[in-house]
Amino acid sequence: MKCPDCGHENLAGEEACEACHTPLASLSIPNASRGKDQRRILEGTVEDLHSHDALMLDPDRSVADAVRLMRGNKMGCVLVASHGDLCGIFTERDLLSQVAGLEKPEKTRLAEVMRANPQCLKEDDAVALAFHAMAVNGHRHVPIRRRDGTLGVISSRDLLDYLCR
Amino acid sequence: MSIKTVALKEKLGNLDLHPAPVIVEESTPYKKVIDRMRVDAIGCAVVCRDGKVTGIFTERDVLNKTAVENIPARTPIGKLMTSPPLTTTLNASLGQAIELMRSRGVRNLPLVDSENRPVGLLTVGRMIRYLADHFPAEVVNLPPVPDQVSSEAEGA
Repeated sequence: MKCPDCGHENLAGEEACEACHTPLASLSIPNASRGKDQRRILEGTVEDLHSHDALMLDPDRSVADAVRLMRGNKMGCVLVASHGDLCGIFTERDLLSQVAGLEKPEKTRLAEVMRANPQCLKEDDAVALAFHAMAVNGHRHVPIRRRDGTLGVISSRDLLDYLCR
Repeated sequence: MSIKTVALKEKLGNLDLHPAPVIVEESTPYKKVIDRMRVDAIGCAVVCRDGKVTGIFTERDVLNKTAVENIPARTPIGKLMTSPPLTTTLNASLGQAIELMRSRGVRNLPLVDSENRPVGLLTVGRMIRYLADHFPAEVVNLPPVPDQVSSEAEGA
């Protein structure tokens, strides 16, 4: 059994590499040969996904304001924040599912159509958490609270770029 | 085996892709297209003329062209769609499709047969789920809330 770190040839079934003491137990599990990608998912951090600066709007602003802001910045979502506290997210998906065909996008408040209290990740959270939010919970955009306190956002395309890099 | 190796090898024809993308004709009214996308909870409709793909209408088109414009419900979707759309075939590999979508910045890629008839739809979301299937332990078996810790021992 070859150690993935130092290449030392160990006896089959060894728990740790004889030469460098890297744990080898996971190598005995079928499919664990995906080591490098596994590490990228578990140990890579959200910071590596390079979040974009989020577009921010107050919950009392209109859907039409959000649309203009998203168009102007070529972004698929805005974060809704009241006095700096994140309280919702509004995305293209919400635009399609709730707004398209509405008579009065100028008069509809974001608070009425946003998804309230979205899960927010931190820059030092594992990539796996972002992957989970997108693959299992089905969100295309995830807000990120950066270390400097500002809000960013990552999209499923950023994750795909990271996974295929 | 790296994600790239898996992805590059897998032919799109072998994947369980979105089986029935929303397929409409150019003459289909805008409102009807929106309703079908809503019912199917999908961000994209493939637009055809006589059964052959001529365009695509996505959430991005809603954002950029129709969201605040008061588009009459009966407007034919052919007037609002993006045309011609980027497409690929079932013979392409997943790796090629990913590269195509990344380089051209599209999230939805209709799949067509040799006569340009729609046979499937590849989306970024679908690809993320496909890749997650390769790493179920790392991605799926996570607590829904990060840093979740039980306040008492299990069974206590």
